[in-house]
Amino acid sequence: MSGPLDGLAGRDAAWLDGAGPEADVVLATRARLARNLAGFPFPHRAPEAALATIGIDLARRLRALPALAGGFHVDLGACEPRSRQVLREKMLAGDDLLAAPEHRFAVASDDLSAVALVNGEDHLRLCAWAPGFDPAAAVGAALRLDDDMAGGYEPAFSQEQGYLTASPGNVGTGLRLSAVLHLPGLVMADEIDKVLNALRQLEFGVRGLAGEGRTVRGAMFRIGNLTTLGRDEQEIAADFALHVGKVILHERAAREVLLARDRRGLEDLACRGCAALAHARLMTTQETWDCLSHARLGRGLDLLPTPDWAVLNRLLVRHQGAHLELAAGRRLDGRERSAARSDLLRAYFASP
Amino acid sequence: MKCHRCGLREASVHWLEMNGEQRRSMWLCADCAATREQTPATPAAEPLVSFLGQGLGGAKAECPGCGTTLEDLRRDNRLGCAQCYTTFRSTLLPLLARFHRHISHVGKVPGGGQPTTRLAEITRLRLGLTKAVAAEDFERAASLRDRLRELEGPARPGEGGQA
Ligand SMILES: [Zn+2]
Ligand SMILES: [Zn+2]
Repeated sequence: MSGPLDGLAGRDAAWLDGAGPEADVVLATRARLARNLAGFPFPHRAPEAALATIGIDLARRLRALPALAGGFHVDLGACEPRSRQVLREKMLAGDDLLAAPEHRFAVASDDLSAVALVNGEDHLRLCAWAPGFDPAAAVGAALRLDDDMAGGYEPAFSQEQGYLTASPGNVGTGLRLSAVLHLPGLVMADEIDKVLNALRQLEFGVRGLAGEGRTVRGAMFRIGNLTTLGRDEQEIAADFALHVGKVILHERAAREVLLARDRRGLEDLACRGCAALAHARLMTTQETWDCLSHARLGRGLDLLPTPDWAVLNRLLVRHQGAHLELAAGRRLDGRERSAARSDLLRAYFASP
Repeated sequence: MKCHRCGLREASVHWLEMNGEQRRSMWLCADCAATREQTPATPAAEPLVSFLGQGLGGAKAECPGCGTTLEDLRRDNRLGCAQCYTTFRSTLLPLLARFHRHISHVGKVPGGGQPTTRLAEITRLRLGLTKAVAAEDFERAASLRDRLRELEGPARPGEGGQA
């Protein structure tokens, strides 16, 4: 099962290294800018020939950018479905790019911190990731990518509505900022609904991390701004930092309350999680999300000295189905997957 | 705590499903969680999508740039090209205002020009308004005043709130 994704599938994104701010709660922050070419219909409306032209031209220019040179170039039309799924599991691409792969491209830097997606919902989406909670760094990096691409094409832009996008929900700055948060304290304290409702009032969207993002696994949430028009990039970043920052504080407070109430119970949860990760011989997806979540919680409260955040973060990506199958080099049935998953987890956890 | 679905086994998984505005939160046992994993949820709609569906009246229009009609817009919730923003302007503006709480762009502009900040935009519009009034171009003055009102408008919901 060799293919264009071989190198990329085995790569751990640099932003999963756990070295960023607030790593006990936030895995990473991503800024994404939506851009379109003037004079062409948006991808869902563009004829094949236009998509092909745009795809080849943008991909060529992107690969020449200093930030992306020497990285990965993926022609999604040339990938089998499982390989495309790897991009989703790595959080690098969404449905808009994966559903209709023909003339769709992903160009990524070697460390997967900068990713450009071509001919998804918009002609071009420029993404920049930062480890931990760092909205300013992510936005800055995305804007630099945009600056570097400027001159390479004429963007669809109007004085009144700014950058024009296929969905009116992205128009204006085209900036969608999101962070991946682990919120087990709020979930266990049953306060999560209250916090999510408050976020919704403030026009933030919340989704899960696994699969299509509609179900939440392992208390992992993706929180992002929904409105893009009428506030500049810095203001969007500042607003995001303020409100998502409050969620981080709420989460830590909830963890402390749980700890004060039942320290032994939390220790048990975290140690059982680690034991299963280190020793079990069959691990289902659900079990793994939960055990990783409990291990993270224990690590965050200093109940456990190990494992590293980097290990916990990388496993969240690597334990998923398409990664396991690509590593195995073949299709796996449910039980084979559970076996392969437990082998992977043990390899990370059981080392002396 | 017992599983919210079967009520028999001990719940071990917090299950949260999100579908647009709706959210279902429950505690499940491992068995029920595994069963639910198999049943895919219906596609989630972004909030603006429901705005689009509501706001598009019966007017007949077709975009000269890409052939998108109001029907298409309602069905796909997507504009077909840059020109659609002009073609469907009167339909879009109220929707943008409701969804984004703003109708005009503030921020980066292409070509390395000065980014539009709120203050710079307000200054620009005020100057334009004075000129338009002096020239007795009242239609232009009215549109500038609308944009000014929008920019200087009510406090945004994010301010002073708590997450
Ligand atoms: Zn049950
Ligand atoms: Zn059009």
